[in-house]
Amino acid sequence: MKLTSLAGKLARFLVYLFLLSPLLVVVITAFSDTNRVVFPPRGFTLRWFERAVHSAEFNSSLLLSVRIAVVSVVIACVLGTMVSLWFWKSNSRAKGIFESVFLSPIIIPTIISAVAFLQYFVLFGGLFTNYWKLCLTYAVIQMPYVIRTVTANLVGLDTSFEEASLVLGASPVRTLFHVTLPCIRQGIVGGAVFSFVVAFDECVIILFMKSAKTVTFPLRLYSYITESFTPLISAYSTLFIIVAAAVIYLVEKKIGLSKLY
Amino acid sequence: MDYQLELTNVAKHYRDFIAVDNVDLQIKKGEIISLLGSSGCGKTTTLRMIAGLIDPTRGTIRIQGQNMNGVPPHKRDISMVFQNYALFPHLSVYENIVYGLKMRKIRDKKVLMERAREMMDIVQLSGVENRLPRELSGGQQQRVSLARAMIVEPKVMLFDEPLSNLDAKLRERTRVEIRNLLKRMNVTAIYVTHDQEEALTISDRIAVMNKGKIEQITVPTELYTKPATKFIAGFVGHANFFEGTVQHVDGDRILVKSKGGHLIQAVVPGASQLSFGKEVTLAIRPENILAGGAGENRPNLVSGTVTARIYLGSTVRYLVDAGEGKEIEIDLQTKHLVDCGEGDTIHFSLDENNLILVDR
Repeated sequence: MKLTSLAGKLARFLVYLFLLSPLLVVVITAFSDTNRVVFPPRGFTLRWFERAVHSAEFNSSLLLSVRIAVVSVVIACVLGTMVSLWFWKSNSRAKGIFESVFLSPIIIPTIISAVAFLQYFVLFGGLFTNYWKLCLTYAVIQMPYVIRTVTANLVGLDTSFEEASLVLGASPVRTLFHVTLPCIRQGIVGGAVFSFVVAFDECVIILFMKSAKTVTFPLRLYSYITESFTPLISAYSTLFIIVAAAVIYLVEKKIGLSKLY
Repeated sequence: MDYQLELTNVAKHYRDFIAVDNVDLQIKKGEIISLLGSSGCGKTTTLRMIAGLIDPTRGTIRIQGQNMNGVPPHKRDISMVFQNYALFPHLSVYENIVYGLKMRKIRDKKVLMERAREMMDIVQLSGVENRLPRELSGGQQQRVSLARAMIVEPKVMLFDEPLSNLDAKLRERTRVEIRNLLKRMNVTAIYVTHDQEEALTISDRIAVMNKGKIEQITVPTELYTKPATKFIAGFVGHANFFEGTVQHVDGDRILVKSKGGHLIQAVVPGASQLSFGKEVTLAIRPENILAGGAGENRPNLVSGTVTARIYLGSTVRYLVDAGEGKEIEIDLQTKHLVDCGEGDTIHFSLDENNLILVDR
């Protein structure tokens, strides 16, 4: 009994080590007092973090990435929630077809989507700036994530909440905002978090659709790494690991990500 | 006469399935009507049509004389208590209770607070204003949903089996409270239930539904003592049936020869319309059957073999095979017990005044 529980602990430890060791390497190299990323690191310095915080190029790319991600998340959440609500209410036969259509961006390889979006914007590109092209493209890519999480929430939602609201005198629109949306808040927030991550670290589509004005953060990291492989990259990565961990922790605490599956 | 709620020829069809079939119902202001029936009889569908949650296939629903066809639920000025309470999970008890008022554009915080407090006093619920519904017990949630529905002073209040999630003791107490409350506030109510006892205690009149139709609508006492159909006699309480043919008619008195070969004499209103040879069904409640009569020779004496003896506390129920098809149930007071067990022959007599003539 004791032996098995010990073996279990050991196995778990090894799995976590396997999952986390690449991250550990990145974090450790960020403190290396060398001009190249080396492992094991030599010396100890915080100067790469200082450079990371002060780099104008990186900061503008970061801001751009956040702006694109936020706008695309808002679009994806609004449209994705609308689609989910329709799936929830409808008994139509067309539903099955639309379900596969709306979930297809997850299944279709990103590289194919990227080519498709590129060609699409060649045709209609004059209508949008490159920034909006990216926002719209990412919104399409993100929608399946929102639809998945919101639908998961709606499946367990009793229709009598809406009925109670209607019978108590609320119009359908007020019912949507006062009852239905608050009830599926979890799914919407969960979908938003996933979509944000998808948009934020996307690097295939951006390779096809970039312009001088739209060098997003992943792209900046990528082009920087091809030129010089300094621990600055590791410093950025470390900052991101910290931020991501904090966000996941907060979301988990506030609404419980695990409930979405 | 102006009715608070009037259903005329209301029907609901789903493709080939007829859920509700030509229902007529008139309800006066302040009256409590139960729709009683087993699941799938159309009672909930009828309720939902009154609420406007589903559209009738045909017929009209009028509230205070106004035709409600095509009027959406939120414009009908009604309210509803749901089986699972349907309390909004993200809103506090207070917010749940004042929801209907807010939707009626009452914005004044003081008015809302006052009305909510008043309502919470009435349903005996205080000190939980700021809790979330999931933090309350089933009974408390029930009270919140009652308060939430009643605070808007609806023209008609609808109940969809609101007590079926409570335990038996609480259910018994709550149904009396609901009735007193509705009477005190003079609320017109439709109460859907499958529980006959609940319907008997809570309503002014009961409409028994079967296969989409109202079979009988009457006051609770009559429903038990004068069920119109075999279905109702069997659904509301227990009943034994004797099917047979009329042998003789004399005023209100008829003589029937049952399938099991027994001669049964009964006094039933409307007997004069029956004639020799007509097939009829007579019903009698288990408690109206008297033990004894062995060796006598007169009508209404029946004997049979006891197949089971069930002790129910104050009474003992005998199941007796008397050759009438279904076993006959006899309830005897424990203090008048006859000494007879399974496999023994039991003699009993049917009181001619307690036999009821039922349809079908």
